[in-house]
Amino acid sequence: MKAIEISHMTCDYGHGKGIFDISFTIDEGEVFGFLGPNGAGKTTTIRHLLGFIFAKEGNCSILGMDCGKQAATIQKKLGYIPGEINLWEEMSGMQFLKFMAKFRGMKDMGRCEELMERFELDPSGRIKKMSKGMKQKVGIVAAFMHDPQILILDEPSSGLDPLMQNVFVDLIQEEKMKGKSILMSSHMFEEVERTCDRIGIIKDGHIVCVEDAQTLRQSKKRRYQIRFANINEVVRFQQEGFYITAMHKHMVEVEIHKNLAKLIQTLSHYEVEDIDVTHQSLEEIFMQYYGGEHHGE
Amino acid sequence: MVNKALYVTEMKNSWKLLLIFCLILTMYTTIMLTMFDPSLGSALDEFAKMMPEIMSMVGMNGSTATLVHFLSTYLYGMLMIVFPFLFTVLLSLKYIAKKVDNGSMAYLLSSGSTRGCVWRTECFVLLTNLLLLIAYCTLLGLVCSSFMFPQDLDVAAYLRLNFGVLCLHMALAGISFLFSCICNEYRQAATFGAGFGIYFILVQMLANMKGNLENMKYATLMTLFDRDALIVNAAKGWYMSGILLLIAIGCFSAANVLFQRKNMSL
Repeated sequence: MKAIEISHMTCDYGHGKGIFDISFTIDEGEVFGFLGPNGAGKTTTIRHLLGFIFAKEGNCSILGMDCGKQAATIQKKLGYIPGEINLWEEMSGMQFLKFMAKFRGMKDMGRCEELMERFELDPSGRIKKMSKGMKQKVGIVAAFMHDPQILILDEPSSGLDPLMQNVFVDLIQEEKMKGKSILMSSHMFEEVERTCDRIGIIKDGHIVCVEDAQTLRQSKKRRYQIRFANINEVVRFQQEGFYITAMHKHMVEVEIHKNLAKLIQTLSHYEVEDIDVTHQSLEEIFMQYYGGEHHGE
Repeated sequence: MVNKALYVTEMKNSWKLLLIFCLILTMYTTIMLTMFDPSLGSALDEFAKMMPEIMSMVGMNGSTATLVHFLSTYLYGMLMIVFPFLFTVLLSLKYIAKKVDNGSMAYLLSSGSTRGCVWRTECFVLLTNLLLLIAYCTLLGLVCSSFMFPQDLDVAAYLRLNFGVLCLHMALAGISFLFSCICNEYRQAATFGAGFGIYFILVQMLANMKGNLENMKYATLMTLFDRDALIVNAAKGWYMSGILLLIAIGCFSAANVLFQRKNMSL
């Protein structure tokens, strides 16, 4: 049995918005990264999985149960972080977590306390006054505290500082070890590549590719911005035969596929002021992915 | 059936509003009662003589011969309609439409309770609050009149009157709750949910002016709350209340079905 199974699901909002003929599956114990730019249809897909929207065409199921008809049964084993965290503003963080625990019929608050400690969350304040990061932490605790078998996380680490993002990545890896199945959406490749086994990319409502994270990572080329001390160095560097994608004054951007060592060796003979990694957009990543495939590189 | 944790939390979140409305109605009830004078007629009758149109517009033109007629005219003509109506509109919007609009419903609908269960719980909270408010007002009237005018109140007639007003508010709450369940946006839900009630009240005010406008009473729900018929225990008062209850049941049932079927952008 698949943890999550989506087949030929379509939800047309008109004007080309919505999702069209989406199909993919997630195995039990797998971490699946669901990547796409803003407005690509990630959240719409997730709403179907939670049973907030009923599929007009196609269907989706979790642990073999229909997401529309058996939402409540599925949700007993499911943890969810919404894309926009909207907690009950009139409560304090602790009141909210206690309420959610009672609402779910939970008795043991041990896991909840452990998670709060991990994320250094002080939930005594009123939710209304909390920062985005604080609310996100409350949302994370609420999604994990009942030790669910399936996790659906819509841009879970948005609003967290880099330190807490690392804590979150550790948590995901731990849950994966325990055999949990996780669907995690994001608009940043870097966020999912650290944790996911497989990655599906969605664009304008269509699944563009579903690929092994390892394969995608390997096909990904990296770009570095190098700032040289003077223009002579730049001119000299141009002779070295690197693939230069952009130039501006003393700044040169090169694209490297596998020969990073060669770049480092070469640069050691130059007067370099600064070197920086350029993050690529998703579009560039899957364009490269397809480009690589077609040219048999 | 009903989620206990949600029920308790919602009741806790609403008690302040309930208290405010209880206080407002306490103020009006006691003020009105002090104006009743069994021997001389009431001070309010003087107003009615001075500006008959305005007093009849707000339903304060009925008989004031007995205490129950007096209360019926001055409290149940307008005040006991408007304030509980505002109360139920605010609550029905708060329980469903506001949560769908601001997204907090996502937590209730992703945590192992069916939509039906969440809906029933919110519905019961609304009805409990309405019942508490009307019960409080009934009790307050009974207690105050027994202190101020012992033996003057026809208790049975007074209870029938309150039963009627409860039926009316069940129907009005049903309408606003229905729109709270249909609309995904708070503003829309508020417009329709409150709009119908406000329309009914305005039409009733026009119908109260008598003359050519009297036929407008067929265009408002308030007519089904027939105060005089209820006081004299006429069959008409009972079956009209029955119609109000049927409207309430119809609205709540429709709200339930539509809420379970709709798509929500949570």
